Amino acid sequence: MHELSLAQSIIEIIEHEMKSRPGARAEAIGLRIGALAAVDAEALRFGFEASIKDTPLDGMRLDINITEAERQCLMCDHRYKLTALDTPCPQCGSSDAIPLGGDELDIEYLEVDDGKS
Amino acid sequence: MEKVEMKTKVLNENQRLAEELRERFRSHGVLVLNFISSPGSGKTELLERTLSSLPTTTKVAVLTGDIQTDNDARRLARYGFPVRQITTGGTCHLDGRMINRGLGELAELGSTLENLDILLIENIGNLVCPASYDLGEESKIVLLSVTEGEDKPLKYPSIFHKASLFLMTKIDLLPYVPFNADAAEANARTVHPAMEVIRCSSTAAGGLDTWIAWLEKKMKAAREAALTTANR
Repeated sequence: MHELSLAQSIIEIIEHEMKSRPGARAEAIGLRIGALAAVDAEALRFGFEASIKDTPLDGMRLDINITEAERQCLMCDHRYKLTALDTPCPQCGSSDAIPLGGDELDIEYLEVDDGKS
Repeated sequence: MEKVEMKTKVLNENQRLAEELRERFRSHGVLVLNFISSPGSGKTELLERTLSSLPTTTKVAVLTGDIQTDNDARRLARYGFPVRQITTGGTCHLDGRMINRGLGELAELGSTLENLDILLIENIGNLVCPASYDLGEESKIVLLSVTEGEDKPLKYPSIFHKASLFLMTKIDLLPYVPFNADAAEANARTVHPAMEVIRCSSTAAGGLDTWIAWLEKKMKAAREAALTTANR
């Protein structure tokens, strides 16, 4: 259960970003989580919502985009998405491959209401 | 409404610290290993055997993490090397800040990066959370004992994806448990095709020499890489 620590890191990043925007309100934060990141999206959502309750960020939306890991085949160089952990290369059938990502835990965007339309 | 593109890592602060630590470790030629497993897979026992097997000229220090108690540090301190306990008081993983603090405490014991060959970090017993936190280590090492399930690499893919070595521990118990060692290796390679695997036992003959040889090879590589960089 490190999702609560992660939620707090996300909140620190939002607060840091909002410092340069006095009077504005943070509406939403967009996250990208890789399928191999060992992060439970629902636990993270729970930790985030519990942590912002009764703070200036209360009511913020958390948008989570989960991305599949990819691999590059060592036999034919084909790059493919890992739909299951044992997905072989769809082009040549080999299972020898280099992992490409899948452990992302990134903030992609912040939606801010600055009072202007 | 304004949409601000961020492109930042959630753990950017930890990542920044970890990169700083990695740079310090590398420039001093210190091999740093981060040991991760479930509780009870034999991390402390393996470290005890490792400390007693390394040549006495090896300059080694240990940081050992636990949620509560300093029992592990007391066990490991018996071998005469500097050991510091990191007690997280509830946190389920070690992070870069804790390592930084631990390095300060090791320095108080006279063990600084200038006079170390290797730093062994025993993470909190947990196969999930420690996978997310870079500690600046050269390699993560995952332990899985034969009294656990051979499908753990499939259940906890993140750590098997990130570790470069899988130590299968307690292999002296293989005759008594239904664990299929080949299947466990195959499962680990399903998640991480290039995974190195060493089967070993900390209490009986078998595999420990291979592990110590792996360690010495990595230590030599870390030292040589630091010299090459310094001479450039």
